[in-house]
Amino acid sequence: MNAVPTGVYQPGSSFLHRLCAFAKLLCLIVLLCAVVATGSLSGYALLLLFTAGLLLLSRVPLRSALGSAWRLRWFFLIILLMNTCFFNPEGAWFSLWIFTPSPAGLMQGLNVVLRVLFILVFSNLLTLTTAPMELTRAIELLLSPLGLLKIPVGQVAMILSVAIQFVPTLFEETDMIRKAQTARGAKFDSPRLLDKAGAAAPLVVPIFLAAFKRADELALAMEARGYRTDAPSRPGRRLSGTWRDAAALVCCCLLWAVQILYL
Amino acid sequence: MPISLESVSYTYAPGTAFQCRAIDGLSLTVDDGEFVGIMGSTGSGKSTLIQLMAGLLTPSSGRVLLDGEDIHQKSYDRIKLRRRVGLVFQYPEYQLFERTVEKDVGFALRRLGYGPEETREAVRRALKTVGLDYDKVRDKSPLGFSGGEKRRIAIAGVLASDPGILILDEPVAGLDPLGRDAFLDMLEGLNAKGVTILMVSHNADALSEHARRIVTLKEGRVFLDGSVKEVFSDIFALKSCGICCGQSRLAAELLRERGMDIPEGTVKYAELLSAVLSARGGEGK
Amino acid sequence: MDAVCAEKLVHSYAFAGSKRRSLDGVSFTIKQGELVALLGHNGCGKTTLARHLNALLPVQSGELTVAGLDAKGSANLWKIRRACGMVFQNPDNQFVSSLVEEDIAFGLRNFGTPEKDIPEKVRRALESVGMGGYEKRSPQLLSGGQKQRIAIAGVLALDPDILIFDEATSMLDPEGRREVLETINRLHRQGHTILMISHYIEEAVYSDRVLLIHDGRILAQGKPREILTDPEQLRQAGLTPPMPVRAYHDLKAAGIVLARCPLTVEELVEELCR
Repeated sequence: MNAVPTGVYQPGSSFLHRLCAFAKLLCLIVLLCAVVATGSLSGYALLLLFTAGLLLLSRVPLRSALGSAWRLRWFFLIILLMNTCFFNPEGAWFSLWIFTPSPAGLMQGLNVVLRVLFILVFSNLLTLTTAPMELTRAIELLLSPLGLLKIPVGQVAMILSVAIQFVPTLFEETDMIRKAQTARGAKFDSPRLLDKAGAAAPLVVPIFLAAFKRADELALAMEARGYRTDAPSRPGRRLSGTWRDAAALVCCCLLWAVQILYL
Repeated sequence: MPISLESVSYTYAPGTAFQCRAIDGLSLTVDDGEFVGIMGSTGSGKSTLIQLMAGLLTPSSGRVLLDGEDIHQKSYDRIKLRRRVGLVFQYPEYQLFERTVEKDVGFALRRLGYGPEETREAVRRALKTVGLDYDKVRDKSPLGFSGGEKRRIAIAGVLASDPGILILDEPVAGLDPLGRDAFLDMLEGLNAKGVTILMVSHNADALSEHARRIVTLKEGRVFLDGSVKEVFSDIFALKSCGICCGQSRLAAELLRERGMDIPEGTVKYAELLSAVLSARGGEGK
Repeated sequence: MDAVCAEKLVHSYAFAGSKRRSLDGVSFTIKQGELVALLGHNGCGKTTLARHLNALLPVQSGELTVAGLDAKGSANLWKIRRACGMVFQNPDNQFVSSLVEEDIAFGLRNFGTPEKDIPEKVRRALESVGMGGYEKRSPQLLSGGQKQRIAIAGVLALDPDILIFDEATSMLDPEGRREVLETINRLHRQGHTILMISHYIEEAVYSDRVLLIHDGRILAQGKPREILTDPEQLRQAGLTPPMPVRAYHDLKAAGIVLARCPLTVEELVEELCR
């Protein structure tokens, strides 16, 4: 269906949209470090505050920023409950059969779930506010030191960017092929593992063939439009930093420092 | 025994921002042996409708009855459904995956519990129906054939289990004219043998020539439903749901506007030709 | 000067040890500003031929000049790709960005267009396909016809000498087909040189010239009124004549002879009411 796939660029002119793609990519990396360094409730409170600020600055609705996380909500809840109940029997509030819910377990569960959530939201914010080709260029710039090792950085970045865009199409196609094979009697919902393994071929072979066909046609279309892998460096939209980009990066670094030093 | 939908609704992604009601309280009954064309603009719910009929989607509300039984009941035998209803998706050639044509065409049969001898006979018959020689193609890879042949192999894979009801989504898209005509003649042949055919298509020319009943959809509901003559008689109603009529029908309309004596309900090419001949016959001779 | 001049083109694919000639001595020309329809059944070599014109396939044997550039060898490869733009069959498989303006700019950047000129070129290209204001949209969320028009804009932005449509309408619904055909006809009126590949014979009616191709050879070429009115020849090429042509011949067999063979339904009605 024509639903907007999660994480696809949504044009806008907010503060976050106008930041340079490379600065945003660096900010994301710093933020990921900050998330990993967080381990206390006050730390998460600070992250939450920061996220709220980002959402305001980007004018991206919370639902889009959460993206696929919303669909995984039950999964997150189960992770949280399992950690709470099984992680640490010492200092448990009470003990019932095999369940030993403890504060340490709860904290452990929160650590796992909240970190994943924040990482998802921050990454989503990047892809939602950055045009794909600009992101490609930013990744290219970030990877450019690898060019010294004769790694074709420009192509790698282009492959990444194109691949990401084909994900929704491939999902749709997978769904179609799954249905088509089901109509031919294939079983994908069978509880028996053996049936499941047997069912993989009718799904996997056509999906691969379709993906190769798509890749082939896209490569041809790109070539026809003058994309050349032997060109030294294509003049793209220049990624030029401004005071805004610097300020954003400094803010993110500050957050990281605070998480490490104080919380 | 018919296939029938009783006020069926289907909503995609319920409870999310992308919620979308694709089928909205739709009722439809198709009797045995009918040849029904399903038309409608993109997004009118055609694909959803046929997936509901084939039991691939479960209605949000309403019932889908096959031979009087609700196919979404827990106790309903899925294998029976798969044997009875064959579904051909758009570009079915992308479903091929086995190493040989014989295995691919026989895939459904093995799933449905046919024996080896029975399977071989059914595969031979299905390949013959689509115009391929079993002995010549059985051991070849299905992926090595041309686009049109691949599609015929894929359709043989659906026909092999001898379904009494055949549902096809835009089966002639991308075929060249001769391939298209051969394919439609094959469908007509199956229909003559008693197979119920439901064909989703944008191709008004093909449906005017081959279908006997047309159902048009608009915003997830049945908009027009009747014989080919009835449905194609109202060009304006068709236009309002984004459908153009076939060329012969258009020519009949224009000729009538110019005062030629062409009877109502002239839809097929042969009808147009004989109408023109009898209209001109009087003055010509 | 002719936009395209091909002389005895031969091309064979090596497949599973055997060689099959997909082009077998093809000669033709396309004049500046012409709309040429290339008709043939699936697998007759029309796509192979088209891919020669923008150097996606190398010339194996024969001569080929595109926009005055010799297509033999690789010296003019990129010049030819710039001079000859191509729109493909599957609207989903030709976008590199999920943002319309970036996708159209893709070709411009590949050919080194100065960054400051890009927004204006993108805007003009979108307007010329009737999609002005779609810069910030995502191609994935557009209809099939709109996707193809974006793809056309991506090619037009490069201001090519020749446009090739490789079965660009075959995966579209009737509405999308109409949109794309109208765009093609408008571009033709504006003076673009166009090669349109199709197996929908109705699409060739409005072309200046038809090339009928079969088994890698040009079976016939001429004005639509010459080529499309010959049912025997069309069947030989694996095609069927348009309905009005069929009607003309069937009526003739039944004793009613129309003054001329109609190509469209409107012409058929005109002839019958004369």
